Amino acid sequence: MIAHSIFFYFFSIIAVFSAIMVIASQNTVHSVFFLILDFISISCLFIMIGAEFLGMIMLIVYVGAVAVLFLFVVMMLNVAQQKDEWFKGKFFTSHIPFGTLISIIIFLELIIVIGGWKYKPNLIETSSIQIDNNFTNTHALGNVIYTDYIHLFQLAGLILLVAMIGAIVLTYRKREGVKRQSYFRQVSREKAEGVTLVDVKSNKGVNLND
Amino acid sequence: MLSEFLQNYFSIIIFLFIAMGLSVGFIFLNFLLSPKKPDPEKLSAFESGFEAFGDSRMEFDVRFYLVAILFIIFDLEIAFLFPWAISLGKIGLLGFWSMMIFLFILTIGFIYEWKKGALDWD
Repeated sequence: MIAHSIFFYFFSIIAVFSAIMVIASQNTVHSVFFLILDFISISCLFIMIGAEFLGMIMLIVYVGAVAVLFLFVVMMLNVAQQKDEWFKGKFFTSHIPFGTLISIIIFLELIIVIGGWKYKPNLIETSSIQIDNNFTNTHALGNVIYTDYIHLFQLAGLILLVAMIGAIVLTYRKREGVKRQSYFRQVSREKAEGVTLVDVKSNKGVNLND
Repeated sequence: MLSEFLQNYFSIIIFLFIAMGLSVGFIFLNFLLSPKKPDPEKLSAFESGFEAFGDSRMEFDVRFYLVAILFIIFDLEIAFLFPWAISLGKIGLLGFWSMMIFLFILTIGFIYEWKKGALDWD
């Protein structure tokens, strides 16, 4: 049990520290790297409370894909030019009240969530989902997502479809004047349409345009 | 029950600490042992070379972003497949066909992006 607490505090300290560094770091790329460290330590915390599937999905999706997306966004912006504008002058300070408002709202929501567990200890019994300790949580998820929650599952599929089409519509540009290979046409070329055999008479030459 | 489950992760923790120790150790050794003779000439352009015109950190093409977004979507599709594959024996025909419809919806998107040419690089 003592080892459990040691690891809990180890990962939580890393998580809180890197979360602070995400907003405190002046280099945007460093911020993203601290965000990745934050994701990893949070997923370790998820595994420690037994939410194994959630932790692993966090690693695959957030560290493997979302962080890469953030890195691309950061590198698509002209970071070196905008850095000075972001951290100096009016542009920087005008974001402070807005950010404070959002942080206060999130803080109040956290109080509501944690307060609910604190002041109503039998909250877990009153919820409709029964937690069975004989299953791993991947089993528990798989048993309900695809049958009991089929409508939400199909909705997730539709949202993914909309996201895919939306991303293509927004960012895809057809490039003009690019010569592409057409593998089908290359492979299906016959000898008849590519090669002409001509008898060349001596001293006459050949006129291929006939 | 929980600590027994966590004991399976013990080897991963050892691995994690060895990895952290190695990476920190290499950086620290490098810092400790490397010769430090700073000279302004080391940072200047070599002989008759040019001074750099711009920043060496170029902006990325937006196509990287498109590929990353499409990757995330199929990543999530795979994430949905894991619990399905594990409990396929229990959820019966309904579970099987709900996943098939899910895959069909995403295949429509896949065909769309393929035909649109979003997967072609040039």
